[in-house]
Amino acid sequence: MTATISGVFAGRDGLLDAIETLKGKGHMALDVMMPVPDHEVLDALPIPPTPVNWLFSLAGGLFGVGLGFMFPAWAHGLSFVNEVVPASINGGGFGQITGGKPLVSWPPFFVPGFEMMVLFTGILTFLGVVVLCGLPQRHGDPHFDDRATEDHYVLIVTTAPESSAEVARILAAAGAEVK
Amino acid sequence: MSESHAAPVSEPPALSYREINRDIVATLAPGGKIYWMSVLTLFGIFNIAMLAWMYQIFVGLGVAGITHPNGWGVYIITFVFWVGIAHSGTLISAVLFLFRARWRMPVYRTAEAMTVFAVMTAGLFPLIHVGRVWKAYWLMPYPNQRYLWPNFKSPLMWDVLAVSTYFTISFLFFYFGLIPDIAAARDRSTGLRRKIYNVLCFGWTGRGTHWQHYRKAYLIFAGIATPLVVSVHSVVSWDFAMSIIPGWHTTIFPPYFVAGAIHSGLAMVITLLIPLRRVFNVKHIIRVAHLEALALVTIATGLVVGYAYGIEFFIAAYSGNVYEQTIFTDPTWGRPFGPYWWSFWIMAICNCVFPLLFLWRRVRTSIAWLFIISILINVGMWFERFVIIITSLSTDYIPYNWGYYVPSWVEITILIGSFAWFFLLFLLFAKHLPSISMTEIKELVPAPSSKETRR
Repeated sequence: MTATISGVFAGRDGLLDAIETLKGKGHMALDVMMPVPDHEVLDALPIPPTPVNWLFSLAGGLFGVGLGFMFPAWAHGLSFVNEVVPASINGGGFGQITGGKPLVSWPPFFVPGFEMMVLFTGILTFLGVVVLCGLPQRHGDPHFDDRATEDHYVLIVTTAPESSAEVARILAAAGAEVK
Repeated sequence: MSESHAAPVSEPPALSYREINRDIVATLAPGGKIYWMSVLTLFGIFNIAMLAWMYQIFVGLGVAGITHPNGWGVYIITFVFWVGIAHSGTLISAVLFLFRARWRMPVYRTAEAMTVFAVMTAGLFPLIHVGRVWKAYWLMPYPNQRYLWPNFKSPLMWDVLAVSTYFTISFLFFYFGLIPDIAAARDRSTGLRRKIYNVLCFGWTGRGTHWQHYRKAYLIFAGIATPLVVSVHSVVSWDFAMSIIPGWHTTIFPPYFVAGAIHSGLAMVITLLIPLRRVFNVKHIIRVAHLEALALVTIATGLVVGYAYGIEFFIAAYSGNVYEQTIFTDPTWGRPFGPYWWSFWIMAICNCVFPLLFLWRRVRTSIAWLFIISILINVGMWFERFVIIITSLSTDYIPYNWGYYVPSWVEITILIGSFAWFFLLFLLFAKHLPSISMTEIKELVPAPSSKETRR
């Protein structure tokens, strides 16, 4: 069983004091709703680094660059593909010879390779943020306060029910409007 | 002509977080009579252009002026023009973000919107140009019964991939930046508007853990958009440079096109910001100093473009290639003296001479001069593409082939309609979504302190 208590702060100084006090008392399940990605607040919060870069962006980029090189090679008729895969499903094995170049001429495929890398990195990064943030939040967040997108900060503390009185006291002492 | 709000570009706006929200959300108030009249006028012009296109679809591509030897005309010129306009949006939003140029913050949203709308406009032109638009899906690689795929070794295919990737990434980057601002607008709205904004921002609440993912993702977007912007106009330039037409087959084209694209885009940002800051009364956020900073970058891009124009002549003269010399330096047929001499001089003067006027502080801090010169630069940039495409095609290798291109009324109507479509999209955007980033402006000013709010 856990209890969640939130405090609305009108200023960043009181919020940072409250975060330090709470961390000192062993309350580490903290999060803050705020109008900007404030570096000082994010550094003070005990939250893990985001995996979006390697879990989503890198995966998207690797997939894209692979697709961008391999798909044109396949479509232009890779000889080894023709040997093992029936012509009806491998791009036909037409072997489109253009400009007297080899069927699989890698230099021109750098362009699709690069563009697909960028495309899939971007799409996966966007999806990554959506997934990691649990968006869309259709029913909203019970601790959300409209002022958090303007000039207030909402500190959310998840703690054991018996500690909730102490947390509320710390929040109030730091100048928060406790909810 | 200089006006107030002339604080230097490094100085943050003297506003609190609350005042930033108030001033920017105020831009979303319902439009007045002038706004809707403008929307209707632009929509009307756009529809006239659509009628012209329908006429072309019904009768055939023969109603356009493009014919042998000028297989490419106003449609491709305008396509390249709009792709170019898009570029400085990405420059301002991504490249200047990576360089930590904080002056970009008040202007980048407008620039990003311009990018998205310009690519949307550009994307129409290949469809118009192909004539049989109902076959346009053949451009894309899709599984088909004939087992045929597009030629991935062709720059035209690269162009399809590059421009569609550019649109997708620009749109995602633009939308990603909008999410926290739409949430802020949602919390200052009521009724249906609030519900719509809530759907558009995915119910964003601005939790620290969410910002953590957001910040990293934003950096990645900026990181991938930067090489993308260089690649896209390089690929567009290869549509020309990979061919063997004199005047096109040259290695300077990629950097020349990228510099030209940024030159025209910066000018378009200035053209859009001047009415925007006046109509929405945000002169204290988008100050003269921001326009001045854009004008200074325009001087640099104008010089690069001028250098590229010059080097083309040098290489033609130095190469000893008679076909190149016919295009550039021949006293009868060369670009500055031949049948299209007027277009060359419009290009050269508008792109290289007028931006130099910004060297004078009085000119670059005068709203009227900024507005006039920014429009003239874009006239020049449209003519740059005219010069490249038309002069080269009309005087290729065999004099027997030569011709003189005259655009038809259908092409001119569609060209004008493209401007109406672009400005229509921009007008609709500016009144319905935050056209200045609240989040980033807040990062410029001191964070709220308990002491000041307890007063």
